[in-house]
Parts: sequence; structure tokens; C-alpha cells
Amino acid sequence: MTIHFDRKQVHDDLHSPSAPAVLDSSMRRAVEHKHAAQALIAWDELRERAHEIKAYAIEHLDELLVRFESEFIARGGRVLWTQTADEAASRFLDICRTHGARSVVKGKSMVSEELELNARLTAAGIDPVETDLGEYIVQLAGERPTHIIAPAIHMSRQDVGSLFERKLKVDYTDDPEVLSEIARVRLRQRYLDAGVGMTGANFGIAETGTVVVVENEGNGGLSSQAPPVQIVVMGIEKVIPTLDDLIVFLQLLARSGTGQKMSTYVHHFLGPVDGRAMYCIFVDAGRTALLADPVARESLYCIRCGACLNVCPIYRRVGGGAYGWVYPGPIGSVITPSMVGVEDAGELPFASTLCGACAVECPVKIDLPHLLVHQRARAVDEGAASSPFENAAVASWTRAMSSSRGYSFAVLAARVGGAASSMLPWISPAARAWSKERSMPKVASMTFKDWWRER
Amino acid sequence: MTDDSGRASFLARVAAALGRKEGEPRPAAPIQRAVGASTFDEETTRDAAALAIRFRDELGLVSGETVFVPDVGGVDAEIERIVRSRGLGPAESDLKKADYAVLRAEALIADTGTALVIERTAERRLAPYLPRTCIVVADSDALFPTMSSASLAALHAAARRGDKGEAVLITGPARTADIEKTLVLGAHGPRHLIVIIAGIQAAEKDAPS
Repeated sequence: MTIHFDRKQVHDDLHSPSAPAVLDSSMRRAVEHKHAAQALIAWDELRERAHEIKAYAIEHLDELLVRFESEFIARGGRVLWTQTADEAASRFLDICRTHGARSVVKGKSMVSEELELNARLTAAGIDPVETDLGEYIVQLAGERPTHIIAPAIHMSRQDVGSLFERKLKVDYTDDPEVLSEIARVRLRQRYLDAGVGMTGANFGIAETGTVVVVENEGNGGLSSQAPPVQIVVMGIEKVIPTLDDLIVFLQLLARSGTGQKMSTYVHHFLGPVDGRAMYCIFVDAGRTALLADPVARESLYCIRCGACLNVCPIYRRVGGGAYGWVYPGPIGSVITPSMVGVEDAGELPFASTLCGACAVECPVKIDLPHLLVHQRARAVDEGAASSPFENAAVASWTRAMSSSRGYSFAVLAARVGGAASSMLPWISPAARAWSKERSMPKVASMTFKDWWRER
Repeated sequence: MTDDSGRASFLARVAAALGRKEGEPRPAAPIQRAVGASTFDEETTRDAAALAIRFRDELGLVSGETVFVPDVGGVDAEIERIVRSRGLGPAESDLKKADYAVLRAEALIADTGTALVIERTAERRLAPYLPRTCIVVADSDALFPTMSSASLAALHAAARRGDKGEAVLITGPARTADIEKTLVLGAHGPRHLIVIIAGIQAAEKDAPS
């Protein structure tokens, strides 16, 4: 798998008449809501505290996982430890088979995207049903979520209307209220029929062995509670020490994610009732690679609120599809190269202006620009992010800048070359692609030195 | 029980990534508690009526309703009144058919208009989610100013005792904004959420907050 910052997608998005406008206004609204909700509390103090708790939790990850495991087992659950996304998906399938499940209702989960769980379930003859409205829309469209907390943010209400008309054979409407009701009615019986209910985890609390899921639609409650078997798929970085620590994160998560003071539902799974079963699958899938890197480790503090996406000038223009994998935006550009390999995704951290807005917004104070630069350096060191052309260009730049003669020659060359650059598109397809969205700077007709002399 | 295959190597991988050697002592937990997260003044936090009003105002901001009744004896009559005035069907034991469910809150958090509900049985586990109208009943003693160790004491206790089921913090009726960030109430859960607080005198209802 090679993950490129998808240039065609970027081009299409930038030139589509509606998509970036929808995205940008949605993002702006999200940021406004958030600032209104933050105004009421000691925001910086909370962020500081959240950062400390996560730093502690990550430094003690092995202990906390073991503690969580023993408490979760005491509650009547079973824990599975899986190293790769593939292994996690296989174990998930094993559980479905053991319990004879024909369909799985799913709460919103980004980890499940890493596992490509829907494809795996479908291939095994088990029907995966996304229940979060945004995920439901994206699943119907056969697409991938383009935002961590708003999966269908790239679609307009008209897009959703015609999708429902086409796939669900209902009359066209672009009224979000009616569209939401259609999804509700369709999914109601699915919860009650499903053999397995799956959710991710926002937090795993080590001291109690309880899993916490935060959501607004009620689908998380139904997906986790209705079926006889509940499976939580949890990235290992989700574990925090205590229930009191959770309070800090609950103040931050909803405000950062959706601009709410508190999310509508904060579920705590205490344990399976009356013959029901509860599982937790711990997923590594590249997280220990982040952990092993003392700098990139900080990205494991992320609580997946999506705030860094909302303020990112790159994300706001191009949307989540262009990032090519599960996690878009600044946080995606930091974690993806470590999770899937620098050789495959080393390009992503370059899709950033390093403006720093993400660091200002992050509720757990992750120094994202610093991590982006770190991942860029790794990509260059490992030869995953430079081309012979680029190396040659930088080498000649260095030569030109190292002596006054070299510099004078370069200025002359630039003056000639600048005029010739309009011919770039005819040189090669690559040059044509490059010059399509860019124009060469014009070199002044007179150098400063000449002007000074003749003054 | 735990499936051992992979567990040991998993933990070894985590320890190695952290740069730990086997048997090496771990740094102790430097965890300190509680961060201020509210704008409450001390006065408000000691007065049940003021907390009740703050709760009502906060829940109102997220489209939930709050009703006060003077004592626990008045709760059933209030539920009757709500059911009649909204034309809801009769109480149903089958939640799939019920128009409404009545939940008991073990804590109310005024700062956010949040109710802590714990459902411990298989029969009741879908009560917060299936019916369109959700009626939550609590005593004024259950009111707390903020989300804190104190307000979550019932949750702590349930977790410690090994209670089964689900504890859920509910703040308003279900909602979604997944289509163009436009707010739609109801989504997959209740469209209406009404909290009845018993033990608040009628005269206190309109006291300044």
C-alpha cells in the first residue's frame, strides 16, 4: 500500500464548484461553536492537565493495559491482544462465528476503518451495518469517512438526498430532518436483529476496567446494548488511569469536537447482563511504532476530536479524501507515516503549511507542527520524500548561494530561464502538471547592485 | 479469561518501545486530582433550588425540559400529566412499542444539564434509547454543581461493586449534525427528554439564579 497525497483528488476538489465551499463553511461553524463553548471554562488549565494525564498514561502504557485487562475480566469480559489490523479483524470474525452472528451493528469507530472491518465482514458473509448517520451515508455511498467526527462532511444535503433516493428507493428530499428520520426507521430493526454490536472506545479506564464511548445520536447505546454480544475494538493508546481523569477529558472532547459543552451520551460499559457476552480487542497496528519514537510518541495523546482538521488551511481546502488513508488532517499526517511505514506515507507531513493553528486548537496540547517537521525529517532521511530532481535543484541552489560569482551567474540564468519557463508545459508531462497550478516568479529586470551603481 | 497467545509478546513490544528493561522498576504515579472546570460561585453550589434552576437552564440550551414538583409523592401525577398532555400511549412493558420510558437518575449535574442513569438489567438496558420520549426522575438531593468525583460517586460505587449493565450520562435528547452540520433532534434515540426533579417548592421555581 502506498499512500500519496492524492493530487488528482486535490485538483478535483479545488475545482469542484460546491465541495470546498460546503466544507469550509461547515468547518468555520464548527470552530465558532467551539470557541463559544470554551469561553466558559479554564481552558488552558484543562488542556495542560489533559496533556499531563496522557503523558503519564503513555509512559505507563504496559502497566495500565494489564490493569485494565484484569478489571475488564472481573466485569465478565474477555480481552484479546492483537498486533496487526489484519489479526484484529480475524479475531473479530472468530468471535462473530463463535456466536453465529449474521450481522453486526457498528457504532462510529475510526479503528474499524484501520481494520477494514466492513470489507472483511462482508467477505465472510456477515453483514456490517454502520449506524452513525454520517457513517451510514458514507457506507451507502461506498466511500470512506473524510473527517474523524463528521464522516460525510464532504457531501451536501443534495448529495445525501439523491444517494438515499437511489439506494433506499425513497422520494428525493434534501431536508436533513427527513433524511435522518429515514435512516432511523431503516436501522431500528437492524439493532434488534444483529448478533454482534461493535463500538470503538473513546477511553478505557484502567482503575475500573470500564470502556467509555461518547456520542450524540443514541446509536452507540443501541449498538452496544441491543445485540447479545458486544465487541469493543480499542486502540491501546485509549487507556487512561482513573475515572477522575475522565472528567478532564469530557470537558475537552465535546467542546473541541462539536462545540457542545457535553456530548449527549457518555456510555460506561459496566459488564454483560444475563448471559450476554462482552469482548475487548486491544489493537496495536503500528501504535508501538509511534511509541518507540520518543518524539512522535506525543501523537498517541490524541483523543480524536477532529479540531486540528477544522482549522487546518490544507484540510479545509482539500478535504479528507486527499490524505489517502484513515486519518486525515495534521494528526493524520503525523501518525500515518509511522503506522503504515515512512516508505509508503512519508509524503503526508509535507501537506502542511506549518502555520501552527492545529497546535493552538489541540485540546491535549500536542505540538503538531513540531511532529510534522519531525516526520518530514524522517521521510527525507529514509529517502521517502525526495526526488533526484529536487536533490539536484537544492544542490545547485547551494552552489549558487555559496559565492558571489555563482550568485551573479544564477541571476543571469534565472532571467533567461524565467522567460523560458513559459515553455515548461511543452517540455514533459511532469513539467506540464507542475506548471498548471503554479506560475514562476518574475525576475526583476535590474539587480539591486546595478540599480545602486546607476542611482 | 484472557487469550494468552500474543499477549506476552504484545506487552514485551510495548515495554521495548518504551525503552524498559525487564524487572526495571517503574516510575510511581504522580497523579494529582481535579481541575476547576466551572464558573459556579460558592453561593449557588449550596442551594438546591439555585442548582435546580441552573440545571433547567442548561438542559434547556440543549433542548431538554425540566419540571419541578414539591415532593416525591407528586412525581406519578406529573408523569400522568405529561403523558396525557402529549397524547402518549399507555405505559408499555415492551420498549419497542412504548411511546415513552421512565428512567431514574442517580445524579444530576447542573453545570451541563446532565443526568447519570444506571441500567443494571437486560430488560431495562434499551430504555434510554428506544422510545421517542424519555422521562428522567430524580430527587433534588441528586443535584450537584459540576461533573466531579462527588457527582459521579454513584458511578464509582457501581464500578467498585461490580454492577453489570451500563451507566450513561445523558445531556438532552439525541441529536445529529452529520448532514452539513445542521442540527437534527431525535436521530436514533429520544426526540424529547423531560427531567422531573422532586423536592423543589413551587415558590422556589422562579427564584433568581
